[in-house]
Amino acid sequence: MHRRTSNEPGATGGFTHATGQSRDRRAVRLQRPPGVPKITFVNQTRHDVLIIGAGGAGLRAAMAVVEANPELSIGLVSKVYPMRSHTVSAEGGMAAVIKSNDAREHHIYDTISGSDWLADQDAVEMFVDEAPRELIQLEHWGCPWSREDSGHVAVRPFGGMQIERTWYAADKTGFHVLHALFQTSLQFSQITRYDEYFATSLLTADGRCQGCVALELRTGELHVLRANAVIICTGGFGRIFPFTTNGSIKTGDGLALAYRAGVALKDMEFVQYHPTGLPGTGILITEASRGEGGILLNSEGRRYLQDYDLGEPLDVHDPRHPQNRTMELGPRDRLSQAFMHEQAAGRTFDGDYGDYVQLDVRHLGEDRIDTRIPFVRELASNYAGIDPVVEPIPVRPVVHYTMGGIDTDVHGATTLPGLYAAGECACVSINGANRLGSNSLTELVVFGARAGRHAAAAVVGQQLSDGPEIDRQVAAENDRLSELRGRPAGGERVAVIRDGLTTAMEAGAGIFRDEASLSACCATLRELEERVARISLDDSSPVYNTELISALEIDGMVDISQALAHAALDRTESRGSHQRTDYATRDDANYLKHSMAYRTDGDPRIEYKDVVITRWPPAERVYGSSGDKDGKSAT
Amino acid sequence: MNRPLDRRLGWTWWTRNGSYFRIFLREATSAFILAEIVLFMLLIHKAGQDAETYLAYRDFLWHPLMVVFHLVALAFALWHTISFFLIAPNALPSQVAGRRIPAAFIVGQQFAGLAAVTLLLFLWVAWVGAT
Amino acid sequence: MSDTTIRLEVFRYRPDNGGPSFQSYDVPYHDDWVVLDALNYVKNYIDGSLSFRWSCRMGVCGSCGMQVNGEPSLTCAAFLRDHMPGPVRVEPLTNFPVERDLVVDMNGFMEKLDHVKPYLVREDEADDLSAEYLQTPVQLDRYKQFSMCINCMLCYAACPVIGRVDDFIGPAALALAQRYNLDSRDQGKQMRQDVIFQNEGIWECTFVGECSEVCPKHVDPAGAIQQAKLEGAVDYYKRLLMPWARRS
Repeated sequence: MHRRTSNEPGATGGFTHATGQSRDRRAVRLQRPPGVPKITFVNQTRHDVLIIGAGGAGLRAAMAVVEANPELSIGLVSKVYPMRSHTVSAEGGMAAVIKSNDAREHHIYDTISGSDWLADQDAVEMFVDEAPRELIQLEHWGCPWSREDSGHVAVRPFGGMQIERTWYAADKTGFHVLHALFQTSLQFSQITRYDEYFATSLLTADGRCQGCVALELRTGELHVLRANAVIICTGGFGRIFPFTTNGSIKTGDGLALAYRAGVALKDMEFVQYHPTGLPGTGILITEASRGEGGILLNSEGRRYLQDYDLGEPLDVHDPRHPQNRTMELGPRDRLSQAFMHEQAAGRTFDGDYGDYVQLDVRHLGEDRIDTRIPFVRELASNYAGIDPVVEPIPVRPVVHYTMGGIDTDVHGATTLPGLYAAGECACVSINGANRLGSNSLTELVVFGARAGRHAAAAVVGQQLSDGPEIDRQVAAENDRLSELRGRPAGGERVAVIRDGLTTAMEAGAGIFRDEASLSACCATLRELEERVARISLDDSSPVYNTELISALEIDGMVDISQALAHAALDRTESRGSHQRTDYATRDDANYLKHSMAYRTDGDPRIEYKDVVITRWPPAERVYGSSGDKDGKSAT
Repeated sequence: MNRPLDRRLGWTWWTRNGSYFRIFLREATSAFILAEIVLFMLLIHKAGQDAETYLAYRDFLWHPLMVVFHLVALAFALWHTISFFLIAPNALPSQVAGRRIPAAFIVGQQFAGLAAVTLLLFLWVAWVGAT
Repeated sequence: MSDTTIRLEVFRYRPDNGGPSFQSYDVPYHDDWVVLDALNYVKNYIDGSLSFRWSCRMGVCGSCGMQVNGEPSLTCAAFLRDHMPGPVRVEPLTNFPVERDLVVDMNGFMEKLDHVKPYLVREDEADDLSAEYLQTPVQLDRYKQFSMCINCMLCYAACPVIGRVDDFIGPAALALAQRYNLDSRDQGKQMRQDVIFQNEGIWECTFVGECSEVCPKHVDPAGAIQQAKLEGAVDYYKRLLMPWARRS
């Protein structure tokens, strides 16, 4: 309805029609200490819905708002151009029930057992029910899904699934999904993009979220973007670890925004290690390589997964190989943990970048490799210097996905009215203690759309508040950034703090954790928090000051890392990806609960919230041949 | 304050790297081909006049410098032709009736076509010469 | 680890602080380091004021295109070992205005993308989401190659026409138009042809072919453009000779 910019006190929201696209560039000079480089404010731009993050979830949310109410104006803020978002790196595929041999009950059960019963079952049911429609929507928006000869979309098996249900576009699914969403979004004039704007804080007034302050990279100007609903879609935070498949942009900025606005971060202790990353770079070798029949070998040439309750191996030429929910198609947490045991037993290979095992796809043959997993061949030859057609690929577990995130309900709504979150930055939760492979892309579109629709309905009739409450926050944000940019040289370096953070997280909160390691991690993080306040920048330019952005990112990363470490320390059980060597078993009596981390002036406050259990009471996670039977009995 | 820097090259773009230079040269070959056509047209024109004029013009064409020129023009013409043939597969739709056409096939067809036309011309000239 | 170093000569430009210059940095040499790793080393430990874009470092996000020793390259895929013993000259992509250091202005490119209407156009009244549109593997194969573009803009840096004609839509965007034109699910070809047959469209292309040479994803935009030209020419003569026939 409106894309309006104004300074005048009377012009406070409401649904008036847009009167052009010009933005008010009148600068407001705010009080600042003498000698501090000035930051120019560009005054308020107003939208109905503001979306922070323009990856899969953000773009889907934006289009959902348009679908729900074409009269609404949407601001889409992103620190990178949309097609750079990390959705682009997803490879293997996207789960949804479409084939006649599959059923919703199977997808639900696989997701819940994959989550080690920490997923909310009402959310999972909703997710599974809406998934096929959302994937068909992507198809109608041009996504080049791989096909069967009949012209119907093809599906492939993935880890932890009873029935193959992963839709794929070769092994560049995320790339195609992101580009299809982005290109489709270009036709909607209701969406105004703010490319390369970094959101620095949320604005709240009258107990509602009403916009954000954002730094325009190109000019160094601060913008006040106002809206009656804000949807955070900024992705996960794998970059708090040193060895990750995540791109450099995945610094959890959105989580920090919400956390600082008083919203809880949920289930932060659950971090997924993908079992097959390239050593050194951490580049992901997709699970589809195992879905297509790839096998894992230790240094003795043994398919070691058979020693970890993941079933019996079949010969690679057996037509029944690979078997669903068995061996290489077990869940990611169990496969990554198996690697750690093999490493401890000395049955891994010794490489320049630490120990590794081998992923062997040679038996698939060149044709199948080139049609089904061409990107695997490209990545392995470019970055590991080996051709998977003739050599096994060296792989090791690598931080891949963060199950935890901003606490939301099934509509993506947070406890702060007007604030929503969707995608990896959010925790609904459907992923619980371990996300099932190929559920994450589906989650982006299902919950991106849900958040968009809900926000579109909620903003109607809302008025933006103007007045001292907002002005005060804007001034405080200006002070914070001015102070950071004005610090004298000789302080802490951003990169050194980042190194300290990632080292501490790996050592203290890696695949296996215990009280001692986590306590040490918490102490280091507290120190780092103090050091962050002493960061000084080499870069004094307002234009494309990427060092300033890095400093803002690291500030948030240290914050959310503390939530993670404290939640992990307090959860004295082992569940899914959270493995405590000092509490080795699952403890449903005490911990069938979501952890909720709240920010305080001191350590985060950890509370707990019950998991929603509808029809699938907690059971043992069984993989291998008996897993199938178990899955069916539960439905 | 914010002044993006314009670093584009002007008319000297073709000096930027070797491959631009080669492209430039490839396009420049057309000048030689044009010159040969003009020379050929003149030849026809002279043939219509008296024998002396025709023979003088023919001798001019056989001047060593002109022979060098013809050879250079021939080399450029061949280069242009071959490079055109080699990139032709990229310019054609990749499928005919749902089947992928191998690039080598398209390239081969063109060379075969060129050879056939050359052979026919040669035979025709030989036949005209013989009668 | 080794003690070997390699020298980077990096283009520097700050719009608020004088003209462009080159700055040299000596960074550790590693056999498996790419140019992007070296730039990050500079940014992290030598000079935090160096600005450049990057994210996925696996050749798919398209952020990190720069000129490496004069060649448009993805710096995440350009290995230092191929440039030993150095120096390695790193510049922003040519043919684009430079915002700062190695960061170029992409706005023009984004507008061109938008211009070719890169989305499925359907004549259906309402979107029926009960089933997918059918598309056989053969139909998919017709456009698949042109759908692989990561918008890294190396082709724009390589294209001499872009350097001279500001408004030329350019290789990536024209290839994208062709991608949708060849998609069996699309019905918007006519609309797109109206854009790409304009003066600044396909006919500006002189088939230099450099765009296809530098493309890290083997999209072959030059091929896409020539195919579009062929279609355009056939279309033109059809209309000339058979004015009564419907345009294809």
